Amino acid sequence: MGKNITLSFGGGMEILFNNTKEREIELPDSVVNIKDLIAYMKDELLQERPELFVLNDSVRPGIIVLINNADWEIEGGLEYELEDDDEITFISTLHGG
Amino acid sequence: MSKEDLDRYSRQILMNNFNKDSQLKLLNTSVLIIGAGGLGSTAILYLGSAGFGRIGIVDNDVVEETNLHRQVIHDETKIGLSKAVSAQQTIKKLNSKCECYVYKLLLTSENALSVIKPYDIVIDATDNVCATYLINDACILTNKILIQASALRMEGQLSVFNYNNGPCYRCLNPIPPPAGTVTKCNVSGVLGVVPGIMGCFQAVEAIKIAAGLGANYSQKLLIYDAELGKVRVVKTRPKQENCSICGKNPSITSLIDYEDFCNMKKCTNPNMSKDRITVEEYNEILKVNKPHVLIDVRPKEAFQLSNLPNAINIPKLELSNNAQKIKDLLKKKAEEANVSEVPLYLICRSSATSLNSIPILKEQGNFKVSYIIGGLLEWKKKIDPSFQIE
Repeated sequence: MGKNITLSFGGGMEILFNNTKEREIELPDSVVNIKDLIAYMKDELLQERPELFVLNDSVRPGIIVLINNADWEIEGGLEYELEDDDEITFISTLHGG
Repeated sequence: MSKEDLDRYSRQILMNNFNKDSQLKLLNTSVLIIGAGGLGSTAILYLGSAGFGRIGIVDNDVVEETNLHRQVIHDETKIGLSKAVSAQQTIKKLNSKCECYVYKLLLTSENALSVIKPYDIVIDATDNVCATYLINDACILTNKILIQASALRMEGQLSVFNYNNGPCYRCLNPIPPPAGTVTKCNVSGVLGVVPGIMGCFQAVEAIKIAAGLGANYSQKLLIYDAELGKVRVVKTRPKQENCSICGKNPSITSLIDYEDFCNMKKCTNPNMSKDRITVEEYNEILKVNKPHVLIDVRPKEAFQLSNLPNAINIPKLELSNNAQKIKDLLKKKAEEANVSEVPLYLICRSSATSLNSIPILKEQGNFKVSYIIGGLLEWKKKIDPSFQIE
């Protein structure tokens, strides 16, 4: 059975994903790590303009990725293996004021 | 500390973790706030009233009516006035003892180090990605603590950089976002109070750092979402050994061209040479009477004070709504001159507003549009010294 995780979005990333800031999804067995998740999201969940989300098999620069509310760099980045109930967050850096 | 000061700041000195010494530390600390907009407004108000000895305010813009819903340090009487000067006037009334200096300039690679050097703490309250990288690098090169924040729509972000061997902005964001993926308040909108809240957070951080109480958000990122009512504080990566500015072997040892680094030249100027012209070139166009349309994108109050005789005033934020009117004007000019199309030129005080107007117009149609480099200030300097503008 696939794992259930929560995806959350912010900073405008939600616009690319059906305008929802939070959703729970069940992953297919083929999605093991964050790299797989990004590819899956691009193919199955992204509504428009992939260039605003991905670049060369990763997220584009300017997107903060959080794994259970910690910077993904601390958790292993693309290679982090997803677990049940993980919350993965994609937030665009803001530039306004 | 004087009795007057003891009285004035008595309510914060009363706290058990903030005493007379903490207040004295504030009096002996200086803070530079870069940007007197939505973030800067509340940051400056609270820093000016908290008892800092010296604050500096950097802003090259003038107050526009559309700023007032969020930039609460300014008011209706300040429209058309320099934001830095307007903020300074407010602080002088609020706390006459706070030394408040203004820098009516655009922070650049040439001036950033000398502007930042005399201050202890720097607050990035700007609204664009190039400025954020420039300020980060300048703070690393001068070894200043940086409190960076941003806000858009109903969301805000904040972090403290270069504090106690913590990371810098580049450690977290080594590569700038691709041009075209970044939007600003004048395109996406912003709920007024959200940058105000983030500016308040910046003020708290500056006070705590100055008083020796320690920063809350070093190696942490505060993410505020007013739509969900959610505040997240997340742990970020530490200082990166391979960071190109604060790492062990930095490749950046002096300030660089940030528009180029952030690909902004390509973003705003797909055909650079065509997208901008100099005041000399425009003067030539006038002399030979070459058909064109000139739009002055400043607020109407500023336009009424002084303008070029052939300019039509459409303030930046009214451009989208007037796209059809502009198309009609261009068509009419072209018909009069018996040519297929005529160019559109934009002018403003310094060219910051007209440059930012180009993407707005391009969203509305295939305009052949350029801005005049340096704007009316450059016009006064190079072409007509009698032109009334400051």
